[in-house]
Amino acid sequence: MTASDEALLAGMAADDPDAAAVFVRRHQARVYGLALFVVGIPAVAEEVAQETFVRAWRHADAFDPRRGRATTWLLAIARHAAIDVLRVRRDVPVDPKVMAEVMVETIADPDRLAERVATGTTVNAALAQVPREQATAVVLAAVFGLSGAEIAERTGVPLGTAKTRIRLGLRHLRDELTSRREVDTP
Amino acid sequence: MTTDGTTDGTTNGRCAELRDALTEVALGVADGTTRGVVMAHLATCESCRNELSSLAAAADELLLLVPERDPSADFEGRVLAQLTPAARPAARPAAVRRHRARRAVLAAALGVGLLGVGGTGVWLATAPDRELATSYRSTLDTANGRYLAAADLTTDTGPGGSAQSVGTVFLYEGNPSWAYVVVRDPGPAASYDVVVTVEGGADGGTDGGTDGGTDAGADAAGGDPYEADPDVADLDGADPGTNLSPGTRDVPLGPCVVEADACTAGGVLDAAVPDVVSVRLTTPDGATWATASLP
Repeated sequence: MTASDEALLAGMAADDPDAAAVFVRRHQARVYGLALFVVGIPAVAEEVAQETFVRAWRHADAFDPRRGRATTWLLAIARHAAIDVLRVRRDVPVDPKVMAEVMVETIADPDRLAERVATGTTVNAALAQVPREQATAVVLAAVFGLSGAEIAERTGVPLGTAKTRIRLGLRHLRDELTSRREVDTP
Repeated sequence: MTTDGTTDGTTNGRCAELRDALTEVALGVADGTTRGVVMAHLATCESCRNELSSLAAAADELLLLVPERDPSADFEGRVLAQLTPAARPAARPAAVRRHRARRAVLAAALGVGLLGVGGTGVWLATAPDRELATSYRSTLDTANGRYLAAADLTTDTGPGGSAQSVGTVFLYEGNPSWAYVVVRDPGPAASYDVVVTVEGGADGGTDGGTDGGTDAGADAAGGDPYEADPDVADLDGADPGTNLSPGTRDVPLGPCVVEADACTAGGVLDAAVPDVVSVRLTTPDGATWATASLP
């Protein structure tokens, strides 16, 4: 039987190295993938991913499964660590706008969408329903930590437009996620 | 849970005004002033708290969309080598934790504490303001803002001798408790020290503060609210004002550095919120510039 993430985190909180090994093995591609997506340099992304696991290990006992899934919790830690690097380093080659657009385009591609939906994640399908420019703005904020003003600057739109896009986009996404969950869990 | 998407259409004018601000808070990208304004509103608006909660959850889910990538083959080994009991600050011997180490300990303590209540909030010493924002969001969200107190910050003598409202002070009762100051109209000084006056002179661990924004390295008097070690608790409450009225003590919260005509400061509050008498901002020469009195 496979141990749940929650059980592994409990094991990590009790200093169980085996639990940590399983947890790292299970999540390293996801954490490293997010780090690389944000910072763009493999060596830096590995540092970010490493830091993420160290923090998860440190705070494993504080994880509360009632507040959400372990994966989301871990990725939120990775996001913070990656954004910190992004803010400090000037040599990061990533253009968040390009990355966000690629991500949104990929999701909106019907072939790829079918492939991803088959893997069971709802959020892809939900984001695909959000107008592209709104989805891009939301990704820039949610993944890259850009504020409304920064999004306006990078995408060359007025501040009000950028703020409206993230507001409408995030609500649209939330509503799509909600309705999909309702269908999934009668 | 009323997250049916109709919220926008049924809320009052203040909620509508703050929709963009609430969105930025949910995405963890709001600045200090925006956050302060949103916090003040959330304290009294349940529908916006629910809205924030559901939006923040949706934002977090987006992280699942980023494609997975395999790190180098030795990554796992390198990570596991670091995951030892010694990597936990709380597991280190107390003797290590003195002056210089305190800052790191505080950061770790905040991380642990806010994670405990917030789930996704993580304190990073390198980005205090923004991280604290995320933590506030989660914390408030979790507690439904029940223990949030807010008070107007007014100058002691405004032009013409009348007090002038210059900002807002927020206090959150939780584990840990924290205080947050937003100054919208900073006076002449480039920075202020924030001092919280608390009833009850008894030592409860006299420290507990951090810098609010610009400099993660600011040497805030910090302590670990989870650390039962009295040796740590006693060390640094000594420097800031000890000339108090009987039965009160001062807890330094850290500096509020003015930037772009505003300043914010926040940190863990080592005191019960109902015991807080006032929050003062003092100028570098020690004079009190503005005060918020708690009811």
